[in-house]
Amino acid sequence: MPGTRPEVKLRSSFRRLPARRQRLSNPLDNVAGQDRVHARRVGVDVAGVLVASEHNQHRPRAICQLHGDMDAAVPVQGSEWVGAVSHPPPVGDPIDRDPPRPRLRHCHPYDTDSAFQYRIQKGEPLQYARDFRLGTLDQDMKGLEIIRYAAPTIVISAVGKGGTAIKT
Amino acid sequence: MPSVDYTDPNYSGGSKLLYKGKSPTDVPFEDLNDGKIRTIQLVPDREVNVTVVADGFKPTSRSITLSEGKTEEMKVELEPK
Repeated sequence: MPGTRPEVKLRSSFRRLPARRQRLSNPLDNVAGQDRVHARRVGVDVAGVLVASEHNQHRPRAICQLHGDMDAAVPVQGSEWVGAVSHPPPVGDPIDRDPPRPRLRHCHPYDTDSAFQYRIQKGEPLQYARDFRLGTLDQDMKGLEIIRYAAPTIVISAVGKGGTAIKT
Repeated sequence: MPSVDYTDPNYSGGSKLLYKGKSPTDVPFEDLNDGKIRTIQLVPDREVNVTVVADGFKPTSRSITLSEGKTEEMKVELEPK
């Protein structure tokens, strides 16, 4: 019989983990350049206490946070450099399943001057996305790998012939 | 401010990303408010195509590949239609 979700104070439920620093000779797949590479790679172990559930679109959702010290030399907004956020569970929503299982929906890097690649499990190809889905967390998750790069930047401007300004 | 098409065929979320003025994009740009915009969170060592579009001018494209941490100023001269 469906119950009623009590009022739950959402909380960050992941413990802070020490970073593992590693310097790579060629961190990007299909990259020929060898004259750069000061990439940081961190294996992130995610350990969680279940705080809410998201079984379908009508069910409550969880807020989960990932924490890690990526690179002591380049702190990114303190040490909170990536997070996974979904919507808070509405109070009073019916639930019929126990225990609830939170789903880490979108893992989103906060730092705008960095670029990221990731793989969920060891051996998978590196992927690039500004955020990515981690799936349902029903047990501790290990092996998530995120590589941070100092992002290159293109500064774009446009002029007309002879360097005249373009008005639009 | 001209609009900019930004294309990264390696981006897993789509083949074409678009910046138009203040519209949000999957790969964001920042308007520097001095006639320039800058890219954010580019992955290094990937070729990207930038197409600048403005009313009354022919679209102009440039390809560029940047290594980690590099900043490149791209001044695009547009030809009238």
